[in-house]
Amino acid sequence: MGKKLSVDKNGDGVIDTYALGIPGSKDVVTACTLLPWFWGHAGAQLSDGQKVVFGEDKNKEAMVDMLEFLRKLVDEKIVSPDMASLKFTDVEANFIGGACAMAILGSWHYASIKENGGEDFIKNVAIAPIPAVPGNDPVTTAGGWTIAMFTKDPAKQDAAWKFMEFFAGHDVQKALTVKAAQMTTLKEIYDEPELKDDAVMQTFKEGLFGGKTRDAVPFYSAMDEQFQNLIQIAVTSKDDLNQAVERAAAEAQKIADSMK
Amino acid sequence: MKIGSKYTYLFFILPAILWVIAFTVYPFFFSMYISLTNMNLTRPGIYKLVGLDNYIELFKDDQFWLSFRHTAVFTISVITFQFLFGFFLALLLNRPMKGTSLVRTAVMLPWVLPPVALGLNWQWILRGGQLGLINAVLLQFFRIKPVDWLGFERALLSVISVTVWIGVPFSFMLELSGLQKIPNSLFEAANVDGASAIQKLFHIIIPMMKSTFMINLIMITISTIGYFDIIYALTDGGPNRATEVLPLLMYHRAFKFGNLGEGASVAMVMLLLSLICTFIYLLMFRRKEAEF
Repeated sequence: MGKKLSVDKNGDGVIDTYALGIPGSKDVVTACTLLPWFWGHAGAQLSDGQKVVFGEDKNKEAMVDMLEFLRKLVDEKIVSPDMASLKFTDVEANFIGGACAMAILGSWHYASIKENGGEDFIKNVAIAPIPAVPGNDPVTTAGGWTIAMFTKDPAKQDAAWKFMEFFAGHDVQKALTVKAAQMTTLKEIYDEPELKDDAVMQTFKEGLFGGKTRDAVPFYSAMDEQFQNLIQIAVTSKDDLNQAVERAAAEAQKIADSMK
Repeated sequence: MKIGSKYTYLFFILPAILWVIAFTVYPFFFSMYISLTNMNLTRPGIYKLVGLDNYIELFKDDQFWLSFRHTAVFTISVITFQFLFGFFLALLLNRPMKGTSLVRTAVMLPWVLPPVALGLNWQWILRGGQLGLINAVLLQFFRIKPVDWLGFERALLSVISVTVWIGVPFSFMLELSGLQKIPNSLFEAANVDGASAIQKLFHIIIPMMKSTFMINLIMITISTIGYFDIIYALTDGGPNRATEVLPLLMYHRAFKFGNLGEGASVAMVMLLLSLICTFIYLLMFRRKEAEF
């Protein structure tokens, strides 16, 4: 089906609309977008909490499988060959501009696409969960941010805590979700009148509460960097992916060791 | 201190000296110190001296040598083209004609705009597919298929081109001021002797501009070896490390992975490269430029 959605409209040999748009540039969002394809293999992990494991056993198989699939998408012209230089903002622009029929993007893009594409465009947009690896459950990446305070001054601690309560409170979380599709983790927000009957937001909600977060380890950035590099290796070269994954895992572990 | 005292000058240059110490001398020596430690952002305050271990590991690292090669290609290309284009433009615009001021102002524009803003704009211009500006023009007017300008094969070339475009105004300004220092009487005498434009170029202009060339080359080289912002904005060293030059490697090691010791050692290597290149230029241009 993907091949059918990639279309050369005027027969000049240039594909005008690719079936799928995926961000592949060196960016943390690239990793967030494609981690579900790795996690979608049951049990696949980047780390075990102590060390890097994506270069071992079934984790390595899952990673190679995911990268081979990505390479195949580019080779079969389902995804644009310039994927490695596309940021998520480029994919959004391509989607609105008709350069791709489908796009894998974050929930927050829905609000942006609605604003930039207009009401007529958004009427023809539907949202679906990322398909699962056959035989496995679908999974998505649940991102988000951490607020922390470091001050030892009691007055500032009090003020910071008040801000955190305000930010994590009902009104702000509702505004973020309704206006910017930044999905709150407060479940009751999704029963609010603005969201209860919104099929798009309810789809996002299912994804969020079935989502997986990135590994909470100090060396996550090292694994993230290597994961981004692997994606770029897969779509820009014909390098052996088994060896590439082994090298990437070794490199990430070396950096992890330097942090101890 | 009385005005007129022989030490009065110290009072006036003291702020500049303090500034240089605070923002150049101290950071330099502290960076050198950091490069000899295993300082890591994930272990604030906990580190020890490791001697040359960071350098040894660096020189054994394939990624370092890849970045080194990219830096060499990037630097040599930028030096060559920025210098030549700047000189060519200076020769072209060093004559009184209508609109010269306007053209000179236009030439200077890339230099005065913020590099990161330029990088983001060039991302749009160089974007692959049909939505990039260059590709849209090529397809619409010349029926040329879209080119992946920031893809693996062309990313370094694109980054070099953008860097040259930004740097040419600086070289142009330097070369133009050098040209304008040459006494007119020399050209008049050459005209009387029937010298051609090429003869004037090789026998008057180039000999008289040696010191300008040297300064230009040194400044381009030092700034290019340490060039970061445009490459970061355009590609962040990708795709697949195709544009990962030493400054980006330093940034990734120090701030993405927290390994300040390794990052500082890359910085020291960059400094050494700059010093070697400067020394080479000083040797090349050690003969005094022509005096008349």
